[in-house]
Amino acid sequence: MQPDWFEALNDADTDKNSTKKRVSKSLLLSKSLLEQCVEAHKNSENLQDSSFFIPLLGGHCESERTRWSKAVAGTLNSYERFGGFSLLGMHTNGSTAETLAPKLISSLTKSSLDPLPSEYPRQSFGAWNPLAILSLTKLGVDIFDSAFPFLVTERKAALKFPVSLDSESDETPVNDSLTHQSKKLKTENAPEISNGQELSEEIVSNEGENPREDNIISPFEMSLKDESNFSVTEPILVGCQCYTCKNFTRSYIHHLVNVNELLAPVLLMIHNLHHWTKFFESIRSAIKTGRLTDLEIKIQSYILDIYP
Amino acid sequence: MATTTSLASGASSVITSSSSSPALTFKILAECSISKARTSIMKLPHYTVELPMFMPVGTQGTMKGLLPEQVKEANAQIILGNTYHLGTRPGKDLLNKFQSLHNFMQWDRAILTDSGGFQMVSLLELAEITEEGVKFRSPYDGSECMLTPEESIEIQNAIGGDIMMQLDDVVDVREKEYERFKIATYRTTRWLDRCMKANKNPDMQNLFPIIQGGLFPDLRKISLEELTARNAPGYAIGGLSGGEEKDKFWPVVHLCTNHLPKNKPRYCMGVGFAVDLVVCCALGVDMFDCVFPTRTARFGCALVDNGQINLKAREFANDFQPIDDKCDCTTCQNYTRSYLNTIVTKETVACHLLSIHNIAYQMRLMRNIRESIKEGRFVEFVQDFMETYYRDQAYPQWVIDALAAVNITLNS
Repeated sequence: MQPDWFEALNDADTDKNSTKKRVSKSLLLSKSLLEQCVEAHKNSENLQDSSFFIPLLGGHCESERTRWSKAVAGTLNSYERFGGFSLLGMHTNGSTAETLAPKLISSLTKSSLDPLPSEYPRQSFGAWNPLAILSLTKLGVDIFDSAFPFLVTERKAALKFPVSLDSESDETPVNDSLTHQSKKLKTENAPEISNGQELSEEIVSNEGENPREDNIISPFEMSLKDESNFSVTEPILVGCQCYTCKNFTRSYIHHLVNVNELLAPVLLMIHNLHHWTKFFESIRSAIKTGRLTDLEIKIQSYILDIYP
Repeated sequence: MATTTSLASGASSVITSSSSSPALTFKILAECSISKARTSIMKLPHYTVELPMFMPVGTQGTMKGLLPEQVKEANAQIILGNTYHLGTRPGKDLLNKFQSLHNFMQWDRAILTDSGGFQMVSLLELAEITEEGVKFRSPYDGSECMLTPEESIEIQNAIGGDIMMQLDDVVDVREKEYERFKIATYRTTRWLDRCMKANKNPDMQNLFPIIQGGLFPDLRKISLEELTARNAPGYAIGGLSGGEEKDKFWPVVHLCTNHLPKNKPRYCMGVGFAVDLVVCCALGVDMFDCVFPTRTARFGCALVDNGQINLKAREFANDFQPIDDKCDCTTCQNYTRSYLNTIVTKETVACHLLSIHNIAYQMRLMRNIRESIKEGRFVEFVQDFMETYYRDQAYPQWVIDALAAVNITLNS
């Protein structure tokens, strides 16, 4: 495959429910795997132009994550073609990532990153929601993936949260989203919302192993399954320049969802990826202009408008 | 029966080679001097379609996973929508709100809608045909419903297709009872009259009658006489492609095209296999529809000049050729058989890629037919096509017979 970079093989099969024993085992195994990968990489002709990323592990245990990262820090000088870090072990993909509280993700990430030099790229894959992405960005994470828009598409929904600081065409929540408010995510400790930080905990579910049913959606999206879309002649997001929004109405997409047609996820994914890409453009622009916090507040206010 | 007309020769044939209706203009461009094949253009409100033409089926207002752009890129000019499905969901009221299916699904070329009758009889339990219409039980709440000719046209008016099909009394072609076919023949005529009366949009939407009569020549002749007397813009040959043997199928098509007016389009419903398309063109048919190309794509099969290949097969795991190196579709321009082999039946994108190719294949076949007629080499085209399709010249008897009936002899 000759990738530009790859992750060293590891045991990151840990999540918030993993025991200390499981976490320790994962570290032990991963250490051995890392050494073998580095060796194999050195001897591989085809991978001469590929760099490898070192996994940052330790499950949900901050002390273990710190311990692992400190050990890694000590060995960095011995590696050739080492390219960056990959934050792992906090979730096992899918919705298990989506339902973690941004605060929790941040503290785990911080414990992994603090012992390490900052001049290497860091990737953190998983279906982090937009506020989690912003928290991780503030900690210096550089690379994310499209798992979140993918999950949104899978549940027949479309991203609507504001992605730009400057655009006036940002959609404010439409009233007909009231119909799915009753399906909002539950939290374990349900504090009153008094400021942004607690807000991000509010939108987290702690439903155990199967965090999300099909008809539960996040406040960042709208469901096209909803009957309220039946005769709506507007696109998913007025002003959105993606192919789907420039050509199709919510009514048509709802029809496709309703009759289970293959074109539904195609159109939704086009919109969701477009929206996600625009989000990241905004993040980069906001960092350059020192307005990342403004972007975060804008999205938080949007959520508050939906769940007042 | 064969008349010689070519682009070079004269205006003398103009009178019998074209026709004009409020919503349809038909003009023959060239005819084969040996068989009954002809190539023409059919101007419809949304698009001018080149004939002979194959219509891919986009049942529920979408071509299974393809963007309208992709369907156009594969050179489709007219697609088929199903009245039963669309009348149920999203329903005629919503389609009226959007003015037409064209607008709803963003397809700006031509659309043909079937009447809904066939779907109901084949999909629904307890569908019973009475003089009033098709009585059935709603699959949603079990209540008794009725699809009348009037209701079928009302839904089709809402869909806004360039061509609508009459509600016909469809009998399973394998039915043995002559009487049943006789009833269906006459009832279809009465239902045509009711459909014509119910059409609120004759200036923008054509209504095609459907010739019935099963496999009985006398009944077919009655149907032909009665329906052509209504002076419709075009006609369909119905009641075939229901599993009858091919040697019973082609004589009926041949009989019908002999009696249908030359200067109007002829549509043989449910035909889509390449060999059938070529033979029917030789017999003088202009329009076809079939779910086969898009359906077989979803099973991992791609259409090629000698049939189809199933890309699941192990032999393609290391085959780095495109499906067809002569094909200019986006799938063949970008992907290998090997790649397709890894994703068929596993990733939905495989359905899309194969659907694009299969639609493009059908379009290319039709274009080759049209070009060969224009260039006066249709007979050679048929001979070459059959030789490629049937290795060792093992032509089925029905193909030999059907082509012989229009003076085409295959290579041996």
